[in-house]
Amino acid sequence: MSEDYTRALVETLREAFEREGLDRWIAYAPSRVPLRVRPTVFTSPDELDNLIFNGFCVQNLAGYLKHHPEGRVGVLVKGCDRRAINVLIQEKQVSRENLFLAGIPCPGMLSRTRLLEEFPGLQSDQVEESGETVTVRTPDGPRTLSRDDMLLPTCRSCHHRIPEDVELLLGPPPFAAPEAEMDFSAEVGPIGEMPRNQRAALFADELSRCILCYACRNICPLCYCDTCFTDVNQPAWMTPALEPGNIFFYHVNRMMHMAGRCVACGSCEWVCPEHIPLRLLYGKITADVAELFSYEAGLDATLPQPLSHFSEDDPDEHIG
Amino acid sequence: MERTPQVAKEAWEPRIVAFLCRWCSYAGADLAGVSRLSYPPTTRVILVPCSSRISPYHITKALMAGADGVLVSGCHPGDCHYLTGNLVARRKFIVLKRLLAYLGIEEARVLFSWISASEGEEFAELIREITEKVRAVGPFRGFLREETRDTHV
Repeated sequence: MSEDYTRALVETLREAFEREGLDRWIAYAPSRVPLRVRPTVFTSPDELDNLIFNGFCVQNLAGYLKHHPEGRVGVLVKGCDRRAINVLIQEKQVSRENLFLAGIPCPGMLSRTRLLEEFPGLQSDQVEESGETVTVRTPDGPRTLSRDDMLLPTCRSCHHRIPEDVELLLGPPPFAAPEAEMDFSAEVGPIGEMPRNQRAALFADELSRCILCYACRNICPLCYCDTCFTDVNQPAWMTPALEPGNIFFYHVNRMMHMAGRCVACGSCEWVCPEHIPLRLLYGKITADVAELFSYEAGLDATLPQPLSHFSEDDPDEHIG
Repeated sequence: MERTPQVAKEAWEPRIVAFLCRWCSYAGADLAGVSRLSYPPTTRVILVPCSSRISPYHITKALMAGADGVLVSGCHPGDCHYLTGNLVARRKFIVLKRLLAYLGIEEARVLFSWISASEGEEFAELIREITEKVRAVGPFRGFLREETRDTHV
């Protein structure tokens, strides 16, 4: 079932590649790492044979545009990739005319961590997705899991699965897209209502595992500064020493940089080697910006970003 | 980051880093001084061109380097020397303030205010007020540490 879908997808994209005279196509190819795919820049229509799309295509592809600014580029976009591209357009990092976007209604992505917890040593070819289930072929016979249960938390709370304003909207993949039954405030809200000490303890526990590897920054489709504040040494805001102050400084300031920009693609949380629930941090910023400035990132590339302008009637409850 | 050793609670005085805008709040502080108003010697004033010059870097760095509280003060809305600097800053600060509170930093540690050049008395009163606020939450013992979990009150 999903093989047929992939073949049809490849043919559609190949046809568009040739017809539009694109220079490259950014999509996913199989990876040797179990339960992962490899974001790939395809430079000719023939290479597309290798293209796949499945429940492990988590990494946001918009990030690859910042390294390939010239020429006409095709991108296979999910809802979050499309929104991240909108933010890059707002910030004049890419221009819309140079892009050919093929949108795929996103079925939500699977949690690699959850699957590996349940089936240690699982390989990609043992997983078959279809409809509302994920079937895992184990030595003791196949086990069928509900696709909903295996989704990434960020995908469960996604309200923008279908990419908008694309040149080519593809048919939905043959695995079911769940309804977004929760949103960020569902997780962030209760934490905000906890007593302060408990909250401090929660984040001390979670963030003290951070090893400052900056994987969350590197994978972020919207982090493109030539020199990151982490690397500046005049002034040296922070050092890479694993000291609570440095960890805190890094996360607070990165969060502030993402205010009004984060599209909640979940790449940072997915890539974190220490499994820090970064969605709880970026979700807070997203929820605050939505509440204070009625703004959601990446929906409209023509709007200014909330922290780059102001209104005379902005809230001033924080001014003492 | 070197921290001063813990001192007895009675001897401890809050250390507050105050970023004051050059055109209003710094002049307000100056007026408090020339008017010989008394206020607690807890602030370390840093002169900045505009409240919008202050980014979350400065505020978090001050806390990281041992400040117990941070004050950012600028011109009243409409009075900004650069016309709209304080309005841009206002948006930034509310997001930062809510974020730090969410992460478990006491709200009293990060303070914002508008002080004009003629408000010497208001400036002195503000410093008295925030000194008491910071005193109430106690010394800041750094981020993500065990000790931050139950700051004495």
